Amino acid sequence: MKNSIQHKLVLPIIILLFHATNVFSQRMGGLDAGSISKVLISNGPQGPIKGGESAVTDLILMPDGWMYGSTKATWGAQNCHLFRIDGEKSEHIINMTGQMPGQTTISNLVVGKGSVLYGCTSTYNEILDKKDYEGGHLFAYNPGKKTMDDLGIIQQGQGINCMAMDSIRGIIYCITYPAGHLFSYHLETKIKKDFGQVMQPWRVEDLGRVSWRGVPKVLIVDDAGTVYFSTYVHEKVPVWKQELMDGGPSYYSVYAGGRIFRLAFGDEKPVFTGATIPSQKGMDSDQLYENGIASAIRASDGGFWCGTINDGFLFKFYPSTSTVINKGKAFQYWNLKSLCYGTDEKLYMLGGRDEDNSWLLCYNQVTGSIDCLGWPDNTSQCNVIVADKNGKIFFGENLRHSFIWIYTLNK
Amino acid sequence: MEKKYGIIVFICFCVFPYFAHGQSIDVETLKQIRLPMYLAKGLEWKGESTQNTTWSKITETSDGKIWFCGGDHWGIDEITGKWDKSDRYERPWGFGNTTLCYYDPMQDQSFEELELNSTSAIYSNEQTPGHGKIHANIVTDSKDRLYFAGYMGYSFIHEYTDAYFPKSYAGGALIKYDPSTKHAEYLGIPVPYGAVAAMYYDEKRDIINGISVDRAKFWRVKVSTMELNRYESVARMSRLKDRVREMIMDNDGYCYFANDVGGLTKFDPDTQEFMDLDIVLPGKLMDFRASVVSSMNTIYGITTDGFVWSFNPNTNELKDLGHIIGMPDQSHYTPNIALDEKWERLYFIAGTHGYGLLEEAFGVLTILDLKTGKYYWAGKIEGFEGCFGALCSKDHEVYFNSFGRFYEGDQIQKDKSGQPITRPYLLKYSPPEDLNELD
Repeated sequence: MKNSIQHKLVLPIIILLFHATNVFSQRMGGLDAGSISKVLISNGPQGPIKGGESAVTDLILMPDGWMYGSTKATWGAQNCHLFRIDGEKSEHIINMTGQMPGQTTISNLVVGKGSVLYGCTSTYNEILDKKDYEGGHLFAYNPGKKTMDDLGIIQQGQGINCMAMDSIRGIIYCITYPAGHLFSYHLETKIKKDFGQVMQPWRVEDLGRVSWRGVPKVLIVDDAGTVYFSTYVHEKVPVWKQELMDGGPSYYSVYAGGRIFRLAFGDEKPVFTGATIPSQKGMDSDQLYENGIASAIRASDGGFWCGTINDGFLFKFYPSTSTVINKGKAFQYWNLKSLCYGTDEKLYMLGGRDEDNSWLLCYNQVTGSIDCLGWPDNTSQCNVIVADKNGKIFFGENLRHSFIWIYTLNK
Repeated sequence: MEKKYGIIVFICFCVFPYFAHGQSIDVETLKQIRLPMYLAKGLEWKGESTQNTTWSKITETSDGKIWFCGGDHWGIDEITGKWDKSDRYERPWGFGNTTLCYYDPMQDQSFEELELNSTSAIYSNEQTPGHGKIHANIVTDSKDRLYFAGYMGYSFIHEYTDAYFPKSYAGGALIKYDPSTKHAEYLGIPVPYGAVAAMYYDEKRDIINGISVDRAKFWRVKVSTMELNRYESVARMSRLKDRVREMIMDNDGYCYFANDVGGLTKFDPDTQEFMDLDIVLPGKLMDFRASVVSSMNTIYGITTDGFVWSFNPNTNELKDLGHIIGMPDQSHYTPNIALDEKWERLYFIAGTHGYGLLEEAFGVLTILDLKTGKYYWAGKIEGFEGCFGALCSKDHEVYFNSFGRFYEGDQIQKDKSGQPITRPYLLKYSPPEDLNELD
């Protein structure tokens, strides 16, 4: 009998070993394979979310338990969408381009009072370059009532790069793109205000594709209603005495990036806080390396965890003292582009270049350990992570046919 | 009685799928066949060839020469053969290299033409890997000039940066080569650190279209101006857990990629727009692992799990041409396909090194008669281990770019220690005009 059982077990064990080897060999660098699942956001040629319309730009967990997401159109596609996902299935909510023609990107989402979702729109760089774009809109979507309100254009001809909500005062702040103006929009009065240009962007042509670099990607709002962002300043570097020429300049003008500015509630102009984000010295004036904040999330001690764009540093910024504490980096790449908390109270981070592989990283706030956990798949190219209440981390891809990858912790 | 009933039910359960899908292979009656083998030459070290693999698609020039390749396969994944990694300190080419070869039917011999590392100005050394193989298509234009690119095994599992230079693989170098003048032109690397998995030359537009292995990024190079365009990971197809290896270009220069919704994404070379075709490819993986385009612009493809299909780009009509061994539930990896338009046939070597397959049907020379839809399984090829490229010449000879045990006459070739060795070679098959002769 014992022998018979042993014989029966041999084949399954061999099969299991074979599959384990296979999985290992195919997923080097991957997160624990057993804890990953995925849901396709693209619906294919029949739609409603067609190929090229499913690149996920943002995800946000709402009180109804659903994760709400936004998309942008890529490589010539025309429509952007709102959708929601519960971890097993995805539901299309609205074709935003159908509501606001010409808007091909929902660039950011935030949640406001009454669980209303607010978002901002933009379009392709090529269209912005031709200057025949009407301008990015702010909008509100009420998931309970299933209604959408167009809050209007913020700046003529300019898209909107990012936004933040001061929910106490009912004010949306946003940065336009590529002009780099900071605006506020008062939800009650519907009055918008231009605080001026906070970054003179670089126009870069890379492989024939135009883009603008340096425009702030993240806005942070604290409880006092002060808005923070990182940008560049001009610095004057004196010319060495031995290099001075008669009638020549006495200094060079250079861009210095990663300077954290603030706009206090009621102020008319942002000012430099004196804080500079962690940088790899010598690269911050390079147009290809944006020196700024890529992501931010509120910490429990009044500070904000932030990730940098070009170096991928994790740091904590304390608004009250304008202090920056560099926590280091878990891998050699730049762009710590999204942050969230797991149910294990660790800070999870999404890292990786804009159009390349994405890794999940982890910072243990108790021990200070920072680790690279791997990628959801060796072809995944993600933009954002968010955790749900059950300990699952959702990765939003930004590809032609995008998935939401779902990583279950503690499995 | 109960036991007998159980056995009958069990047998029915096992046998039914084979009948249910019509014609299927009978592995018990398969005979062994041996085909003429023409070695990939070059890359000799210590008096022996170091070559043991070949993965490219192949091409024919107007003089009837068949262009193929062989490589040592050295890369991140493995050091194959009897060599070990310490050899890289002594080999003149470090580690990872490939030769371009041709078979001349007039002389019935194969020859080495060039060696890829030095041709592409990438000098592999003991730390810096070279092109352990050509994975993409070797293609030709109307003036018999050749286009090909380099590859390194498993370069896609590792993210390369300048941080570890010089250990990084520089990337798949593009070469334009004119055999008549022996002039090789190194065109550069379209995706730094990324090997080239597939490529085609669009002569009308003078553009090389290709995809990288890591993240399946689509790129194009206009040869006359050297203008490079890189696009998104359009060929990414997550059902294949490791990577995508194929793309298609039709006779009008339109490119096709298998996508994540089970169909094809079509790229318009003039408007540079992508469009998903409203079709669903057969099989579980719904992709293609080899393809060939007829002069009438019909695309023939075979999926990674062995489903053969055809697609007409003019009518968007997709036809399921059945499973390569007639067992739809049995994945059977077949990454090669050749078309004889005049005789209206497709040729394959079914079952090859790689993704899941039926072991008993490994390396089976297979013919699909397009007139009748009938499959013919001509036999198992002796010594065969893998084939990734095939073509049918105008004289109906069929060539398979293969690797495996090498026979010289009746003798299997062995290394100095007396062990049989794996070599890259071209297999040549002379099919009968009347397929009934195979029955």
